[in-house]
Amino acid sequence: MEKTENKNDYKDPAFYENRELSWLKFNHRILNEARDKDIPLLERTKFLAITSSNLDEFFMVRVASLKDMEHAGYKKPDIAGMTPTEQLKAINEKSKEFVNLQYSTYNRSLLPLMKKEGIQLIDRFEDLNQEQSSFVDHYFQENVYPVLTPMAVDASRPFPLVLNKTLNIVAKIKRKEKGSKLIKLKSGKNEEEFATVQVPSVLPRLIPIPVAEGYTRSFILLEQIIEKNISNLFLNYDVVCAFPYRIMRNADLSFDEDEASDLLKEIEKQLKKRQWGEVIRLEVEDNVDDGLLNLLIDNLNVKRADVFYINGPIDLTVLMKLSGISGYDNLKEEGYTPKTNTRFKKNPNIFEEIKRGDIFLQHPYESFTPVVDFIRTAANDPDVLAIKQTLYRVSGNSPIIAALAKAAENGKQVTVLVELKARFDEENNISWAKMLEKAGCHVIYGIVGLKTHCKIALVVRREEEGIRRYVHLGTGNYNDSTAKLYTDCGILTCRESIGEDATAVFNMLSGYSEPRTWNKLFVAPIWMRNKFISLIDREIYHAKNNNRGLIVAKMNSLCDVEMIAKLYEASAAGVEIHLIVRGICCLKAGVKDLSENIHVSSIVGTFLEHARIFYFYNNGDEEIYMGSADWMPRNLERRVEIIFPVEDEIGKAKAKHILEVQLRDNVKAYYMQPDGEYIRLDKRGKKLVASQRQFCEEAGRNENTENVSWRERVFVPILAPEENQEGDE
Amino acid sequence: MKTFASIYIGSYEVTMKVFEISTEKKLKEIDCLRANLDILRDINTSGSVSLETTDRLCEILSDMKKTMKMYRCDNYRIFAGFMLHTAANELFVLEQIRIRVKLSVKLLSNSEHRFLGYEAVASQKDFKSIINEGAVIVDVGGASFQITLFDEGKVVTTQQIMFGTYSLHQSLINLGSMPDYQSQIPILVDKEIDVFIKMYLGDRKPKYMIIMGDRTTAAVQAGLDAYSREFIETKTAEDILKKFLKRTRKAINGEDFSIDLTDNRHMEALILIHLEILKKLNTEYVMLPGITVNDGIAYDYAYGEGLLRSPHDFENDVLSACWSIAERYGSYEPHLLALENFSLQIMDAMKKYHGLSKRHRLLMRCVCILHDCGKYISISEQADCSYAIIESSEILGLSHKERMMVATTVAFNRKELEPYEAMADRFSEEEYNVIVKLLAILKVANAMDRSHKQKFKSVKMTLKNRQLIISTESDSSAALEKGMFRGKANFFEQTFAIRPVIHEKRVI
Repeated sequence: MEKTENKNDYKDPAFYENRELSWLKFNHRILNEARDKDIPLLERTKFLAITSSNLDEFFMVRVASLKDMEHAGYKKPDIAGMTPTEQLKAINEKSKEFVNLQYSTYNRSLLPLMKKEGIQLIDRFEDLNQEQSSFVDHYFQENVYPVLTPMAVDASRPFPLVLNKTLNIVAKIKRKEKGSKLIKLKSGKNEEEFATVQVPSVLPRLIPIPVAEGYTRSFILLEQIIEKNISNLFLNYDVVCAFPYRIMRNADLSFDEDEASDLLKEIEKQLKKRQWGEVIRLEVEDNVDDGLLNLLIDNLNVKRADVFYINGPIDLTVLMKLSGISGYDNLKEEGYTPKTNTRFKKNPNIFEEIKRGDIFLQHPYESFTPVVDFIRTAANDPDVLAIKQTLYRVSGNSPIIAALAKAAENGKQVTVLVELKARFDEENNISWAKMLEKAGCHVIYGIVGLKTHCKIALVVRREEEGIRRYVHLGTGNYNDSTAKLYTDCGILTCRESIGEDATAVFNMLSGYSEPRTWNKLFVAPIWMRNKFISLIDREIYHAKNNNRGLIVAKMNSLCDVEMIAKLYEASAAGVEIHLIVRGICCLKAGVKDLSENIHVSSIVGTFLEHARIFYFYNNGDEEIYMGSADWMPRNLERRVEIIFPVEDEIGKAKAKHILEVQLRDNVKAYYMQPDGEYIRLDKRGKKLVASQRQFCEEAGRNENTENVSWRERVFVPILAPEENQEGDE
Repeated sequence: MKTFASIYIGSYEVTMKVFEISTEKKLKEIDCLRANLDILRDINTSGSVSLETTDRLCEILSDMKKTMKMYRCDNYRIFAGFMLHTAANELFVLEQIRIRVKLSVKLLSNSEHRFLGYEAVASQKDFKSIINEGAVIVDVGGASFQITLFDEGKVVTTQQIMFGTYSLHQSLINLGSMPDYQSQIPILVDKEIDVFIKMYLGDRKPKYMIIMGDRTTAAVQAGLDAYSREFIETKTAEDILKKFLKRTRKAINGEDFSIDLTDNRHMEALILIHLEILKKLNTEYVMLPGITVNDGIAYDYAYGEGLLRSPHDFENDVLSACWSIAERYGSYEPHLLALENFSLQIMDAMKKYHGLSKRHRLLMRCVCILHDCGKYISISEQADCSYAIIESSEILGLSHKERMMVATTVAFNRKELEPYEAMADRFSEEEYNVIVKLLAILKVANAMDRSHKQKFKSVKMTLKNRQLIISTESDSSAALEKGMFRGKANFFEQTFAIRPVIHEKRVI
């Protein structure tokens, strides 16, 4: 390969995909699920809702950040050679195309199908029948009217603060001839005036209404109820027209952590400021009145290019509620109940069982309960001296938090790192932090300048033979709710080497110096990148010595230039590389003279792929690692992350099996093409493999792998994507 | 099994290690907490430890105390490095810790500090065979570094060189703007090591170098393909350290983020010193056991409490060091051996009456070996010169106080004993009593070989009717010895209320 002569060539922007555009492709793959006729209807509505929620977050964070760069005059191109302005332009264009496709899916596929299935969703109040109309008016008077606060807009009353992501209705109103005067327009003409009202977020947006003939269930959207009754808000006025709108603000918190004497208070302060962030997107109905639109554009200080015209109900996240309505089992995926790991079926004593050997957990196929029980048991065990844990995102009524509080009450030394900077979970985490402190836990709010993203729990137990440390390490959050939806892996172990490292991690997080060396863990931000690079280098070395070089890496995102360049180098050296990247992938796969040996797939299924697993063939002496980090600069440089080795034979076999099955997935996997597009494989004549479904089935069976050597498993090479260009897209 | 915590307050770091001690597991480290704290910088800039640093120190110790409680430690020891001695407000700082954290900190002398580290090193596997082949132990600290030389299994010398990572770090900062500072800096270290080589190493060629501390160990281990507690070739260690130095310099310049400089500010200085020592001493192999003074504190506790038995005889090291000094200053070995023999016989015979311990017996032997080392410099000022030599010679295994007791005993062998009041600033009453007792024994023993000709043979000592009967045979006239003996016997009697008496039997 020519490229190996100059390694810097691998950083040529032409070899990289822009991360934002790559993310939009990922969201597109989710949208494909909403468009997939083979998927039950209510699952499809759920996928559509997810794309909507994803796009919101993307704008609030990524687009906002690019806007900040643009404002600051930052012109440095990204790894794909695009300046912030160029990226924003491309994102705007692609996003609008995407939104059009979302609403086309909604209007042309989902809505008619819902109708066919007897579900009526009224997104225009004009479609209500008489009975429904009366019900809606009554509902308005009883439930909605008391919580509405209409606000006039004029010279003396500036445009009110419109909260981020809230749905609002802007109305053009005209004073009735004998009515009292509200406020005159700036022009002085006493004709049309404006008002805005927020659709109350305290009320459900999807309201069940009397069922119309020919349907089995009927619903209306809350904003339609308000629009229908809006004249009741302006009794002395005639409402000329009213339209819903929604804005997206910059939600990136920015503060100087070094200067913040109390991180908790500083974040609370910044959260309030988030409501005033710059408006980066305005969504309006596509038939909005020009005058009202101009009013919004002027007062919200938003560029015309950032206005999104919506052909349907604004904010499709409401469909998530719809997908969860009771009944209609034929329109949903069959529910899946996570199975109990067989190790715990045999022996309910968690510490005894861990002592027998590492326990590998695969969620959500296997229940998250053992992890909760691990902390719960420790909290009540008289021999436990201390519990230490990191928390990034926890569930609403977290049993783990309750167990930690209980442990502190029982006199254990409980140290909890609650990451206050976990985006969009800041408020939630602040309240958990306060609650844990009150219970007597030692709460660390995070590390200055870094987000603590690693998932680790340590239980220090005094046993007859001395101190023994039990550790849980995972790829996903300690969140019992998302553990039912996200695919993650974890291990429970009492290996001394890992216990020592876990202790060192918590010492470091508590403000003590880093350990001189790590036994087993790769810890970001300092050591992880070099470790990964050296593991890839080792495969390059083997390949160059005419041995097999093989890397299989599964992660959520891949956009780190150093890592990608190293993968290109490895590919050029003959290392076979299979990447299972759910979301952003800035690497270009299968490109001649660059990445011919790299294959990229992405699995989008019922469960959100979330585990990070890294396999290195190492000339037959295979090594497998898992952890919390993606190959992204933020994970490798700006976060505390942990990657841990899977050393137990059974655990290795399981991890390898996960990768192997996912590489054979030809139902839910997309494969990246040399042009950067993702396609699904041609399934004709092939045995269908849907990895998530297969794992569900496997988890239900009795585990009988203890006598199976993991080395006996071999990777089945996936079909070369280029051979399947006529795939099912 | 016991759980033990050792805390060491160093020049720029406070470290706590928690150990489990048992006969099966020996010493097993279960936790290590390290917190940065620039005490030495405070002392060097203002002469005392600042209030902020004292507050932070109390916070750190308080937090460490919580960890000790968590592990339900059975015992603990807290020591502070010698640098705290040099702070004007040393007592204030210790008092603050006592009041606020309710922990009592003991200040270590340099000798004690080094000995603790040495105790840990000497507890390692194969230590005996290593020193038999010739070895140096190098211990680089913030304020100084120490080199201990072993030859044929014995301690030759222990030298403290007042040049540590802190001072070199300061020099690096000051000279950093010079274009060729990287080539100038080693000269600073070299000239110190050259003195050691010239004075002590001579023709000796130690085969092994044992490097104390865990920072350099970590740097070298990271560069090895596989972790090794065994020896590595010096060249390998040098190459790794040179690479690491390059990376450290890149990190300082903001070009490499793989080294966190917040915890490793003195890393460049530390590596530079080690590189120079490696180059200059040129041993064949290097061993990096990653041992710190905290390990030594734990070993010392374990040995002291009888929880573990040391595989190494530390008393022999003390005696070797004394013999090495005696040899350096031209003492007459047969006389020293005779003196040692007589003194120990007296001590053994008087066991029930002298109240001295096993440790004092060791001091007695040191006193005998070193009692006339000052003669090398000045015969007339022998007492003062001996005192000065002993005072300024590190004797690995003796505390600073013990060394001063030896020096004082030796000095008063030739001078009139001063009353306690004159020495109350240096010794406790108990220590003064020990000095007087050692002195009384030394004087009698010395008198028994006044001619340095070992005339007394087959010496036997028995205690009878408040008399120490020294039965001896001699083949030539012992008039000189007997004549000198009387005066010494008076002092002995005043001290022990027992009179030594010589019963001589002439043999042909």
